[in-house]
Amino acid sequence: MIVEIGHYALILSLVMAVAQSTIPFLAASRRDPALLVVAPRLALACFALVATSFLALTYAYVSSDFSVLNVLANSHTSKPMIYKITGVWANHEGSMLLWVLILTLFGGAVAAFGRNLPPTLLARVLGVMGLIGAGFILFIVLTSNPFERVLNPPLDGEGMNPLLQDPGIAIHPPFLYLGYVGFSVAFAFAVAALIEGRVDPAWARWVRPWTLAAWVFLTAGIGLGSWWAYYELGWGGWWFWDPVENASFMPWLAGTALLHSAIVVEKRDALKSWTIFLAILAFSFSLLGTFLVRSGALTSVHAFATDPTRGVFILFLLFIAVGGSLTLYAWRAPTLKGGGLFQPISREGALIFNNVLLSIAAAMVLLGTLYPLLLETLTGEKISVGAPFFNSTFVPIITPVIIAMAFGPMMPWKRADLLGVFNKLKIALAAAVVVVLVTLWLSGGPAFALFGMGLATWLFVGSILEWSGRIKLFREPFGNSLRRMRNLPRSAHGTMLAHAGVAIVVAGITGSQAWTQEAVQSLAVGESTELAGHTFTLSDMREYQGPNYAAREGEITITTPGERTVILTPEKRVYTVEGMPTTEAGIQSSFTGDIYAVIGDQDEGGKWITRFYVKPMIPWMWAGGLVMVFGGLMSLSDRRYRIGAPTRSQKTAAKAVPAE
Amino acid sequence: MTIWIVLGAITLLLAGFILWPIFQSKRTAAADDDAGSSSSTADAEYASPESEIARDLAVYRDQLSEIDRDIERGVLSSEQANAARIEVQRRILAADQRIKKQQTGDGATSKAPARSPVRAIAAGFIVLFIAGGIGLYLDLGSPTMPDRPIASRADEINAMRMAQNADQDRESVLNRAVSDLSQKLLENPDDLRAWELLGASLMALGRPEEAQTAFLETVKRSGRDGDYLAMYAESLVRSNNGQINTTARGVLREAEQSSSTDPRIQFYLGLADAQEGNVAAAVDRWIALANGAPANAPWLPMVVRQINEAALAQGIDIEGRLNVAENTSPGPSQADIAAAQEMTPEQRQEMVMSMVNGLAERLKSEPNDPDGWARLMQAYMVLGQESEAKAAYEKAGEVFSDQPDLVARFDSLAREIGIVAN
Repeated sequence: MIVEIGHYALILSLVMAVAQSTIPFLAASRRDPALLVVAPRLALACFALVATSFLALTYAYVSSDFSVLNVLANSHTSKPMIYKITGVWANHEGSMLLWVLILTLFGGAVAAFGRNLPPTLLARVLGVMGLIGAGFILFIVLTSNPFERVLNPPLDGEGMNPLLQDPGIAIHPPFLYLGYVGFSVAFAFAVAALIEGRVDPAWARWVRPWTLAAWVFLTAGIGLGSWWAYYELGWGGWWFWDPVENASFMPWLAGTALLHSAIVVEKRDALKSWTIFLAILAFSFSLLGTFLVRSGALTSVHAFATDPTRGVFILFLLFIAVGGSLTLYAWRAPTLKGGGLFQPISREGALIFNNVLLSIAAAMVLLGTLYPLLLETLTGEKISVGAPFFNSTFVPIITPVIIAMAFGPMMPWKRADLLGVFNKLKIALAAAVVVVLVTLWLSGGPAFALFGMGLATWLFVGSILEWSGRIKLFREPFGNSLRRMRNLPRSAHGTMLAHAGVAIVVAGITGSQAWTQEAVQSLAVGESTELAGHTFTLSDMREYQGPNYAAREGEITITTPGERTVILTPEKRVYTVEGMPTTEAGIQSSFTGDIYAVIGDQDEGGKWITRFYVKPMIPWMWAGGLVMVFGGLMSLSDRRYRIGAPTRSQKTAAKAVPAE
Repeated sequence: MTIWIVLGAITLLLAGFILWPIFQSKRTAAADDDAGSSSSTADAEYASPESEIARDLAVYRDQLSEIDRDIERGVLSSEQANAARIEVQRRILAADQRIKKQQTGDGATSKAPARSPVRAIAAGFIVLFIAGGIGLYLDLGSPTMPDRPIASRADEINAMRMAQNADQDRESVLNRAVSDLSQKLLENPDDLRAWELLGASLMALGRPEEAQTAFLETVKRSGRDGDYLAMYAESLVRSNNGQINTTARGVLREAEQSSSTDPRIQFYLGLADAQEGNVAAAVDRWIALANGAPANAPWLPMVVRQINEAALAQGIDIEGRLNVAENTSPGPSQADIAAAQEMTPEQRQEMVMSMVNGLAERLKSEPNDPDGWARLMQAYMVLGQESEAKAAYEKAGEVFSDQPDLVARFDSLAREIGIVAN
């Protein structure tokens, strides 16, 4: 009965979403008070229904109810409980339901917390979210219904892709979806503002935190995904410029730009039109990602659904959402009034610079992702656009962004003195030069590594300098600085942490790309090999039986003169139900880097093929990501009103430029 | 039934939650009308331009007090604070102007909305949507289908395990028989009976190619006995995926000439006719076979089915030609087997016992059934009731004392299954 209640709730949520995408617009245009009260109730009802249906599906998974086709096709009784739960979204139908659950969760949250929004704006925002929800729930009910039943269910299911049976990847989709779908709130606010024809002060106060929350989740989701790729796929790579990875990276770039321009709207009442455009862009990229993954246009571990009708349906939704909102933008954006004025060299100007470059970077990624698909569709020719393309286009675009990132937070609103700001950053430049020289002395190159390390140092020290300048560290007694630090708005700490996090990520990428050392060899038990000053010994080889897999585990003893001995136990597993092998790398992380070991098959001589990597600085990448996420959360917790204090012009002759 | 109550409750709750504000507004409006007032004032204020500017101003007021707090905390200098205040004041002025313009421009139309049929229409649509949802669910859902969590399916799992075990047991017994018999035949290759058993065991194990060799030995050593020819032919057909090739046909023809009444001969000859396209001839042969069969022959239902299928497929009229009672199977029915799978071992033993007793009772009244006696002897031995088995063996010997070949058959069976010592 529970399963059928779930199915009923799903279908009822569809009609609620249809109501939510019509009634609120009616209510807003007629300014009818009673109907304006109905709008948030529809959003809450929709969330309650989708949540019921999601819980029912989870119950079916947890209780191994194989009369549900979706459970039969994706679960198995011998699976550990955690993967029965995560199995709910480790397949096409369930993951779409999670997608919609998060969408309606955001809709419900806007409805619940939106009491201080103008009621017509609230109704229109909910109406836009209802439209998105109705489209996707219709998609689920018609093409991907997770509640399809089986009359004579077999006694066991068909299992789940073993690559996904991993704690890291288990929580990766919810985070990623919270990010993707979180941008739908900014999107809905943007479209609602276009319909209303005005961006009121409450608008900006709302868009920034929702965007920030989405950005935090998306950052965490991408970080988890790359971490999983690194330790589970067994080749020590963490980013492959795979179209599906790009599909998550493009909304991140657009979302990062949106985040910064939303600050300008909130603090300076400027850049409204541009912010609305970025909000539409960020969510459009999210939808594009959904389309790429579901349409069968791509083949990868993410491509659950390779059903063309599903692809066409999502393409249609994508077309309506993106085409519709951009048309609305072209029509209504000119009516939006610009606010505060500022000069090109100012905090606003720096943020525009950041926005433009991030948008170009997203466009480059889009080109590299879609070009092979288009070429194949049009000419049938298969080409692969890989790391070389992205490295040679993305890196030159993002480098000036990173250089400017140190400047931005130091610039005052409205007008700034570039030389003055640079003076404050002299220490950062000096530190960067020192690090480059030390790197050259220690490693002798390569050139890009020197550059990368210099860049990371510049940004890291620059971010700290801005923060320490605000609390007057070392310029006033420490107690005073401490008091100033406590009084500093939490968003200021957030900025510093997020920017420093980027610096740490850059350092991690540079270090691991430049100085990774690798050794592949066959070893018998007891034999050793040398790599990067460490001695790797295959000390044992044993077999054991996991809950739903058989594993072969190697014991690698790593000795380093003058350091503690490390034992790694990489595994090779064969999942019995699915008949699929996976590798579990053995990793020893430390501040300076990772030691990474993988075992393979036996060669003809009965020796074991082993691969060892020494990857300096690679943990910094994920640590940097964590710092970014933490910075975002810090800033999110700062719910104060934010007004940018503009510096007054010294010379009255200084010309101001219009904001937009 | 419960499901309808639950779904109904969900639906009503939801509809009530959503439609409540509309009903509520109807009621207050009605109350207002009674009191003679023109509209519900509280409602009208909610979305009016006045409330809009009030809301905007509230935000700006909060922003101004935030600046004061920032000065207190020393985050802003007084110069910066002044600039920020001017900024906010500018925004307040802009908002004020905008609202004024709106009021003079379209103030009349955007005044408090008149009570309109819009609410009723909206409520109607919501009800209509929900009804549509119920309809869609009735089309897509399976409301009567219960949940089937694996924990509630222990019976099915046990039955499957038991069936698997039974299969394995049977297979291991047969495998042992094959190896024992092979050993025996290495020492004494003249043991005709052992060759036959080896062939039968291999057939039961689904290894007809090997059975073929064993049966060929029986054919050679028995001087081409008709019964052995029939067994040999069957192994040939089975190892050829049911196709009757020239060799098999030759063997069957030879068997037909013998004195053997083995039903397989006519059955496979009929099949050979059918495979050559002469289905009518095949049906004739099978009908003759069925009509001549004892009513409780275990193979009879199979032949009858074959006749019916062939007749139906080829449109042959067999009305009245088949003189066989329906459902003549002497073995346990499908329902009995299914029931056995869900039983505990004790219950199963009991069911087997009752079936054996039934057979014994029947043989008392109709003793002229040599196959029945043989089955009874075997069943008692399987149940471990050796004395009963011995009694049955002796009784059978008495009944058929005038038929030495049957007595010989009982003797060999008794030795084989251990009723009497070899």
